[in-house]
Amino acid sequence: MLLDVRDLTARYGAVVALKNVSFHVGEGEIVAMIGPNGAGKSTALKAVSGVLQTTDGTIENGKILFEGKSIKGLTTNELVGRGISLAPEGRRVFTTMTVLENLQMGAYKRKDKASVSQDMDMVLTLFPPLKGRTKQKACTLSTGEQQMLAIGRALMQRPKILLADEPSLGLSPNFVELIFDKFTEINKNGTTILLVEQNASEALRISHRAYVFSIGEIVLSDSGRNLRRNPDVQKTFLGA
Amino acid sequence: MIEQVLANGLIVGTIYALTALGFTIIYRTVRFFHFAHGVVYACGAYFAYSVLRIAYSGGGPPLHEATADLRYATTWVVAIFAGVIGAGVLGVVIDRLVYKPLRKRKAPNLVFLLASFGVFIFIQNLLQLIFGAQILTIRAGPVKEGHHFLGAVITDVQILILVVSSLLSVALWVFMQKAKLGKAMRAVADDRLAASVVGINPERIILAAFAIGSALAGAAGILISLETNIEPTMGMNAILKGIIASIIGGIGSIPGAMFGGLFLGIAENLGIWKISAGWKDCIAFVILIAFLLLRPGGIMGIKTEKEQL
Ligand SMILES: Nc1ncnc2c1ncn2[C@@H]1O[C@H](COP(=O)(O)OP(=O)(O)OP(=O)(O)O)[C@@H](O)[C@H]1O
Ligand SMILES: [Mg+2]
Repeated sequence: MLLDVRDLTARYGAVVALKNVSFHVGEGEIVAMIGPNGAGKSTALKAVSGVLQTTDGTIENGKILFEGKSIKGLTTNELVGRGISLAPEGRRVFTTMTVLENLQMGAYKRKDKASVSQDMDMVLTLFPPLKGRTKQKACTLSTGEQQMLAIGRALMQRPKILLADEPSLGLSPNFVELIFDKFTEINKNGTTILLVEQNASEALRISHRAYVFSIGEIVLSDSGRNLRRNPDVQKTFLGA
Repeated sequence: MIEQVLANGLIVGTIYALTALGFTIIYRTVRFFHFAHGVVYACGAYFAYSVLRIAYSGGGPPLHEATADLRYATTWVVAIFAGVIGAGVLGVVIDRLVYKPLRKRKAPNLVFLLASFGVFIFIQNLLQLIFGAQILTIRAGPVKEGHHFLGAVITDVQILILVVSSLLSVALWVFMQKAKLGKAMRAVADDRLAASVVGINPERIILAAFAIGSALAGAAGILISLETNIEPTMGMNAILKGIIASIIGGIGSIPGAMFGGLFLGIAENLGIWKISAGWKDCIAFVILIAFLLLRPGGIMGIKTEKEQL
């Protein structure tokens, strides 16, 4: 088990955002988290990536194990060193820096220059629209291109697990499909993925397993395929 | 006459620019007004003075003789390093002792600003206690006649000020553009959360910003004291001009700090020439208010709606 979260309770001040939530991600898996707005999906990713403490949140109790070791309390930049890499909600690319600089910053912790430049080629091949724009400031990119950059930047860390928070947000339908196909591709190349998504049908299409969140709790968990057939899920999330 | 006015404006402008650059480097990273930057500037001058004072009891040797005598030159080099590095260390110490504990407690920006005023006054009084309130000087020796250049008269010292501050500004710019640490500093200024998400330790960047920014303040303090006297309160005027230059340049912008400094220096000197020397500081504030009203983003047009004091 790569990531194992047990009985996690997290809050923002008086607001309890997660109540005794347990989930896990095995090596090589794509796991999705779906659920309505405010259900606590982002909070779960923030807890795993260490961002929670820097945004007024606290982990009240529970265990977060990564490769069998507790990572609770580690800072975000320390977790990057462990192989956990987040493509945050809302893209958060460095808008005043160029595409190339954004990708270089993605590899900030890495010392192995040769394989960094290999990964740079890999990312630019994975996302062809970025290739001709490496000298452009990130603020001049379209939303979809910025999303590619955010994912590319996270991949530049060569993470063991990629955490992606709503990568399809604000993208046109064609683009959504493309981004999700890219996730399958990234996963085939050996990166484990934990994905939070509003677009349940696409998320369930590509993921091996998925968790359904509702008001701070996990109410369902199954394989992506089974959840797509589940009548409740169909009614609530797939608009059937 | 206008040539001389422009030359004087340019020289004082480069000093303003250096002060503003240091202030800006820190502001971009921590997002509050590090007012105590002014007293760090003063300390730069006092550190250099102290070295010269210890080496030659009763004031330093004239700088223009330094080139003639190797012993003088060495002392000056030591004095300048003491001033620049001392200021850098002082900035870091202020951050670790005062701001870092506040950061841990997630104090609001107003608290940082007040703490910064407190540090300013504390260190300024300390300077007064150690060196006395009187005017001191580190530029011993007779004033040499200047060079005639494009209708203006410029002294050796003024040329030195121009060259050194221009070199420092350019070096800083190249560092921020090309060096890995410089890029990381830009990343933190751009988006603090995203910076930690790529593995940048914000505390290390804050440390670097205080070290580099404060060293620049120290350099500015030494350079100005080659031209005028030093006194414990010299930091107040410096930080006011540095902040005004940063705002009219575009708060948080590095080129903005440079242009803002030069603009302010030249505008002030034009004002002195056309109105009177007594109005110098008033002119600076009038320019500031004009910018705040007409172009709040400054020369570089920085968007300010997200910024707060
Ligand atoms: N910084 C914060 N301060 C206070 N409360 C917060 C904060 N961030 C989130 N919350 C609250 O925590 C709860 C869970 O939020 P979270 O962002 O995890 O939801 P989500 O499932 O990601 O929703 P969405 O699909 O809208 O992104 C919500 O009730 C939200 O209002
Ligand atoms: Mg969310």
